Amino acid sequence: MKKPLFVFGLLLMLPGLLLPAAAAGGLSAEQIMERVDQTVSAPRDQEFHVKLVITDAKGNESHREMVMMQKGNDRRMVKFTAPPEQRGIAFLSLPGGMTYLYLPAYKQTRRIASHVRNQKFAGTDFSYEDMEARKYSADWKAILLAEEDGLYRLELTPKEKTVTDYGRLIVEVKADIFFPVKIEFFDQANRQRKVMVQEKLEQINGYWIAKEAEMKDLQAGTSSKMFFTEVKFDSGLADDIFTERYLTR
Amino acid sequence: MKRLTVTLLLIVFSAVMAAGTYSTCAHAQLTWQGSFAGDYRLYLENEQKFSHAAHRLTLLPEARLGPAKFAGEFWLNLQGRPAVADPSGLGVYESIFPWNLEVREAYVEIYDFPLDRMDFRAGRQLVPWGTGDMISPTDNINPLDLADFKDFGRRLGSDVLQFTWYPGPVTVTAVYVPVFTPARLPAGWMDLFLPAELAGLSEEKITVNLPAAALQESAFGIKLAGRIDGYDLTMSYLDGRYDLPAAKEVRGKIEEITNPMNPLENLILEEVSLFFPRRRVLGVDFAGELGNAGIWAEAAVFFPEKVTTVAKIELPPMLPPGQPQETVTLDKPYTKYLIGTDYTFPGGTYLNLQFLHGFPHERGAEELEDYLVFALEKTVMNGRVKITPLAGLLAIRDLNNFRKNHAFVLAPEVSWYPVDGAELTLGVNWIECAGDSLFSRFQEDDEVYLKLKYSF
Repeated sequence: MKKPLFVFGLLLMLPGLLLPAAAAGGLSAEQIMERVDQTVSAPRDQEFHVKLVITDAKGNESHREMVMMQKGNDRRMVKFTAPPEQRGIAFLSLPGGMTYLYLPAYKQTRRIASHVRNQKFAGTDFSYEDMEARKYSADWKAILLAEEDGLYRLELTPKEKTVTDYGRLIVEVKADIFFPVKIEFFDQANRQRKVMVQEKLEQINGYWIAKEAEMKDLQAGTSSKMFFTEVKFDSGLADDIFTERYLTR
Repeated sequence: MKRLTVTLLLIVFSAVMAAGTYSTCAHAQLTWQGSFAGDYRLYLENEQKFSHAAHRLTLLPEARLGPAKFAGEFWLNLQGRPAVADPSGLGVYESIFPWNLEVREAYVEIYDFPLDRMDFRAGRQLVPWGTGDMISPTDNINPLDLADFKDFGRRLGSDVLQFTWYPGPVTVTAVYVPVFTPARLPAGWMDLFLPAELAGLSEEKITVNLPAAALQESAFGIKLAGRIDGYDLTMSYLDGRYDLPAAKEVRGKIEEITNPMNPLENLILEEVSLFFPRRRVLGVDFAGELGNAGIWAEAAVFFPEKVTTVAKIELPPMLPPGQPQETVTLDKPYTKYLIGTDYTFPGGTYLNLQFLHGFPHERGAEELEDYLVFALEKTVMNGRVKITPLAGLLAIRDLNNFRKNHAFVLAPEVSWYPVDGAELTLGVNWIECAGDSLFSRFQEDDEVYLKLKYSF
């Protein structure tokens, strides 16, 4: 069984190498998703500050701030820096689906099991599953629905062994750089539940990143928008950062 | 012994020097955060008195400089009820608005010191061991803080030297507690956690003998943690003292024997002296997942010193003088354990269950009870409201006679987070007991509570 990685992922950051703009016709849906995987998995490590605005159905806003660091595509550290009641809370995600949570109020690190994967992450509209670092081509079967206006429009359905809460995804990929800019999430009953849009694409150190990503819960009428700042790629993050030792610092 | 003392002094001196190296170059950035909280509890019966009405200002300073960090947790407790006992108290601010300051934690931590991949932490600190949720049989370094009986599991900070070494896949933690610290008992309910010999005895007749503040009375512990096949495993060893006292000597007299069948009927206790027995604790714990559910377990084997209570009873003049009677109250090793699981159901309802053999204050195989601790909660309204319809514990004192011997504590509550940083909680503490237990004294003390908290 695939373990959730609880990581803020490639789904959100989506940095990628500036690839040759050869995304012309002739590529199969599977090949397109492989190119997407190459794009989003390109940096050796990455670090950024995130401001998160959560808006409820009545338009009330709440705010979070955090620092996220990732090495490879399976080790990630997330530390909340605001608001005060969440400052110091930290998540560590390690290979094999092992995740740890440090709660400063209890001075204790706790192991987190995978039953939380379909839960809201930190009260946002992103679930833990949405935050996983995963390879689309490995976990999803792809069908190319259309190619128009510089976008590939694909339908992804889970492969047999893929563990997911979703029945299918509709993904729009920017054809020239193989960067996903919109994902629609459907449940097992084929009802659209959420939609994520990524905007303000920028190229930093040769990698692409969306500086803003917004997830909308279409049933609850809520949304969560992430703003990425202080982005660093390949800065040589030490292995020690991705340990329980660093989690409590 | 001298060598150990010198070694410790050298370590502390080196730590100060290491921190000083940085202090000559720059100043640490001191940051503060904290919270202000109110806690009101009202008896549902008992003339609807407030059982508790207090505010607390929590301050959390932190300063970092290079590989060193200072951190603290200070509580400024503002008691809501005036403590005026006589007319002079009416002129004293502290009597009208009683308050006290607690230093929960204040420590310095230096990373990669004195060795690479070793962290050193010195000062008052909480050192929670174990994988249990709130209660851990292997968590025995810090003394119990029973000042608020409804916050069971809370502990006091201890003055500790701690080294944590990360050489590779195994983490080694060593702690040294130079001076013994006893548990804090709840005012008005101290007898619940004191030896039975003290029943009805006025406090001035009780002598508490603390261990000497000497090297040979220090506590120390070591813990090895690692991971095997996806499970986190820990082994620990601790040599120290119980934080709750035992009776060492009981003095009393019988002036007249009126009932030969029960000569102790007229016993008048004159003095009881208490001490804190030594004990060694060997612990193991693990955490992991089974299917999608989280699981954890702990076991702690306690090896107590032999505790003998000596009773010296002065008999009526017409009888020959009695000999001191010795009773062994603690001798054999015993084991506390805990098994826990948690799971989030589709839809977001979270369940946490723990089976516990032995509460933190219980000791001796005969005294250990079984408890089922549970919590069921669900967050709704986009995280603005958390509902906990089921939370509490079931004390199973005698499974064969459950109806007549059990305790059931239920604490459902609703928390509302109206704006960032603010939290309001409304709940009930409801206790249903049969038989004699720790909780039976509170059976008539069901209460409703309101808690307010603002974090900054």
